[in-house]
Amino acid sequence: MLPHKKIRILVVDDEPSIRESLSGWLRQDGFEVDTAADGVAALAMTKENHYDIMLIDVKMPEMDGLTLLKKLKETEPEAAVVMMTAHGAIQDAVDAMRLGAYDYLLKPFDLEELSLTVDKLVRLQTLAMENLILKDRMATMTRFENLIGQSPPMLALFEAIVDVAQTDATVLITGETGTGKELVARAIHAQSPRCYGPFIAINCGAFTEHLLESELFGHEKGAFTDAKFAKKGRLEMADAGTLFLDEIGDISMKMQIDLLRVLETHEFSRVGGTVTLHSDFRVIAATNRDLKEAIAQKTFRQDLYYRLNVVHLHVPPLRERVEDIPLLAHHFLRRFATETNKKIDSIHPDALEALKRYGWPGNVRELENAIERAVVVQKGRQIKVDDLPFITQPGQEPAAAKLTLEEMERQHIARILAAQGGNISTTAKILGINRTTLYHKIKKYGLSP
Amino acid sequence: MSQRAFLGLVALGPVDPEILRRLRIALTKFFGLRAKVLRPQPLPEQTRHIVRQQYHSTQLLEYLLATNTSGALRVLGVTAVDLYIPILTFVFGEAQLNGQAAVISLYRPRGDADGTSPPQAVVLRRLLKLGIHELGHTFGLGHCREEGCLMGFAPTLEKLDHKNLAFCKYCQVLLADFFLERHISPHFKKYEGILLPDAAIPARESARKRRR
Repeated sequence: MLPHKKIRILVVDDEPSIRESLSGWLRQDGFEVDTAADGVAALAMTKENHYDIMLIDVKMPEMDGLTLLKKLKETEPEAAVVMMTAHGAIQDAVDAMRLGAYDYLLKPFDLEELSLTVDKLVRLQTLAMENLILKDRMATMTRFENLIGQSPPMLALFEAIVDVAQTDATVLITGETGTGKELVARAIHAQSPRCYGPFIAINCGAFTEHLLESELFGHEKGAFTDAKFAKKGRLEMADAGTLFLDEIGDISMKMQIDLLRVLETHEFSRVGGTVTLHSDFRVIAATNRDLKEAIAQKTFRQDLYYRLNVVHLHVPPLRERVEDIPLLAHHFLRRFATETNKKIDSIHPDALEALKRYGWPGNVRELENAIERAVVVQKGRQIKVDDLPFITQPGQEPAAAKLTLEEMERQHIARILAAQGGNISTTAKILGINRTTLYHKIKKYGLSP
Repeated sequence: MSQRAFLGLVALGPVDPEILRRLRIALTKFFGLRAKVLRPQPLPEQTRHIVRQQYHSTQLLEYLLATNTSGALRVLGVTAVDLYIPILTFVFGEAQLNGQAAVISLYRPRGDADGTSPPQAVVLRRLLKLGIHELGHTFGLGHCREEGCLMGFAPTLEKLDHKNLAFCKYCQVLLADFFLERHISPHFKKYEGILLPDAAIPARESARKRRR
């Protein structure tokens, strides 16, 4: 699961006024907060959502805080738990620490005490997240592939790429996850007059707000605790080249304000710096989100949208260009066969048919992974249907035949949800149901958005 | 929303009228919206915690809303008593995020809790910061982590004193957006650095200035 950028907190207390006041205070501090009235409800909620921090009262009916803590240590070992206990119940706090609680607070607590405890936990969880993100980045950095297709929508896209490459206009690329938006951006750069300059990509969705700020703008030595050296930001590095802002729909409102200013003036300062820097870069942004919907929901600024959406290119999902599937499949087959030193040189017509029938919620990236897996498991010279078990239609595969309709639905929703990075709107659109129905099904099947 | 949107100040229990007057002038200067001192209200007994000898700020917000019929865009309660919410030992003030009411207390800024007696200008400055901060919440602003920003969280008087009497560039933009979306036209759109009303100017002097 990808790490959450926004810290999510669960407050568990049987006293409604405590739940309300504590959650209200935490929300004002910018956290996403849910509440539960007892341990049983809290456990049920942790099955549906991931919480980074949990504030749990010790004395509660149904299931007390210490029992809840024991259970959480088995099911949610990464969550940081703070126990809340009344004065005079220090033994409970000691027991809680023995059971793995991060800290405890004596009720009623001081504003400063609460603030310090939450800040500590946020730092702890943010570090854990960043660790995951950096590992993920290292894995994706090594991959490269070409844009391939001969279907009408792809031919139209190639034409648009050639046209837009000659200009310096800002481009917004939209398309589902795995369709190859970065490849489109690279193609524009490669055919533009800036092709001898750098192509600097940044996945805006993969960073916390402060890390993204430092990555984009750079920082001076001593700008924050870990800034032992001054560092150039991506804006500076993209001078005379192209800056690719991937997952632009995921950036915070504050970063949107900063970015808008930079896009207007091309001037900025490093974090902790006072010198105004200028960089000559062309901007290409990409997103799998519906930015118009984000504007309506006030999570994306309209002025930034207009600034980015000077030229709009849409990369079609793989299911809308089925005729490209054999071409792509053979391309990946050649690549992985060479990499693994295997003599596989063809795909059985039945397997090719199965590939064309499948919906590919994860698009080209999912196809690439499917072929890679098939190459690994195949011992002969040809990829067969059996090498692609997960895309076989229901009824053709013995394992699938044993599944109930509900289980099939659960698996299908989970797969598409994962392929869309948890985006409810696009998942609902692909499934052909409305968002409310999707929420109900997510809750019913205990899935994580 | 008309251009005549105004902020209402309500004394909850006995509050020095001079403090309210200076607060009114400073809030008008800061937000560019007229602030009016509204009819004072008694402190409702049911909001008092007998053991803690404090008043429940969340209940005071509900009381403010129930008693306010002035048509004010936002109403700010000012009280001299100490405030609390059940989970915290005390609060300087409380506001409804994106709501209509906010309340602040003079009790701790005036040094009643720690026995200090800071100069009147310091007390006023603290109270103004609290008032602007809590009203900021009613205008949809959350706590801000920008250094010195008035929307930053300050759990102690020391930290409150270190905050600027201004919003950071982000909060300024977000507040301006908030007003723009609701067609509210403040007199200006820069929420930074105002001068406090001169402590030396007596009430009738400032009234004469207004007539001129």
